[in-house]
Amino acid sequence: MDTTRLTHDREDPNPQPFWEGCERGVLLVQICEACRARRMPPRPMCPRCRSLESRWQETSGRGTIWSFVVPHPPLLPAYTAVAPYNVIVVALEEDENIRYVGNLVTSADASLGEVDPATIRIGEPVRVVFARVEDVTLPRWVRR
Amino acid sequence: MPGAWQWTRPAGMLRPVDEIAMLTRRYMHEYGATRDHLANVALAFRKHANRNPDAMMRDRPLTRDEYMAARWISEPLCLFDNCLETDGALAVVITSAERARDLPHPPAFLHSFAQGLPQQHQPMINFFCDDPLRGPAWSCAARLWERSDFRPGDIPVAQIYDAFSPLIPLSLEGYGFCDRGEGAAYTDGGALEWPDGRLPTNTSGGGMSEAYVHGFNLILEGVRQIRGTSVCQVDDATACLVTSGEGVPTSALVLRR
Ligand SMILES: [Zn+2]
Repeated sequence: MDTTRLTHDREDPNPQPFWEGCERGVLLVQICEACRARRMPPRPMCPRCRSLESRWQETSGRGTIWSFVVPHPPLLPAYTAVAPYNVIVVALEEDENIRYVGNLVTSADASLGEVDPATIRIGEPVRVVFARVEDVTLPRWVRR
Repeated sequence: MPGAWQWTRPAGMLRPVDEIAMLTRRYMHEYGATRDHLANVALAFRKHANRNPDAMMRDRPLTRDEYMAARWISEPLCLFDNCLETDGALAVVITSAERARDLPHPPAFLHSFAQGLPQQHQPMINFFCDDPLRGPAWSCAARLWERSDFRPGDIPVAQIYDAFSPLIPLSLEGYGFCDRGEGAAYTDGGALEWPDGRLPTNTSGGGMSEAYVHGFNLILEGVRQIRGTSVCQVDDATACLVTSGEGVPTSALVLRR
């Protein structure tokens, strides 16, 4: 699947720890050193207290489906090939305001289109898995 | 893949419609909104376009059955939940009230104007913040009404940015025409339809059925309502709300006679 042009931004230093976490098989979240608020997507300043001090924390890797869509063509060719597939937003178990975008799959390396979209429900419990796609590792989600 | 897109594009969330469909599904789940509510929006604007000689959809009536049978673009949004694609050129002349007195056409006065976006906002992918269904319209509306002699209840006609049908219920809530979660139900009973609806909206057909000129055609229709020259002219159009898009950093204005 040709996603070369769709993978992460190696120029921007802020998200690099997140992607490095994926390489190691852990789902990370950025957390403010001053007020402990988590934030996603990563950015230099805490939106609650404006502190510039932050670190990365390992998450449970578990969450629930907050919403989902099922894209149909016209899409980019690599995605047309697996459409209709699902895209889900997952709310993190330990902090419902931290959400990740991904796909519900049957296993880490399965095709994006394998889960029957008609079976997907908001609120379903899921856990993270990691898929190697060309030169990057992407978080995906399986039912638990 | 720069910036925010790195969090969405690899999963195949490629298009604006996928991003708004994600919020729409959540909105439906939280408030019991249905595709029938979205059809209310699409059908109302199409009816207006069918009266408008300049509308791309002038000769293309749309039924609820056709809406329900339309192909998916990004579930839960179908073809008719999307705006048109249009090449167009439009212009608005802004001048002083004094200068406008001598002009051949009656002016529409810029009564109130505001811009807004909420804290933690991510354009189009507003599902990362604490309260994703409270979008920029809410921030914009607070300033708009603060600077206005009109209140939502005083507004007889509106032009609301409609790149996607669900932006209408979200905007109706944000601009205070109803309470939170009631925007979908608000569209029932022909509420958005000229001439008898309680808030005739996008009276030239809007982005979904007149033309999609990035919302600029909504400003022109707002001016026509104030001048009394719309093809769906609302009686006693003392003021008209015109908004830009919900879900992105936004703006709105109130035009008056
Ligand atoms: Zn903080």
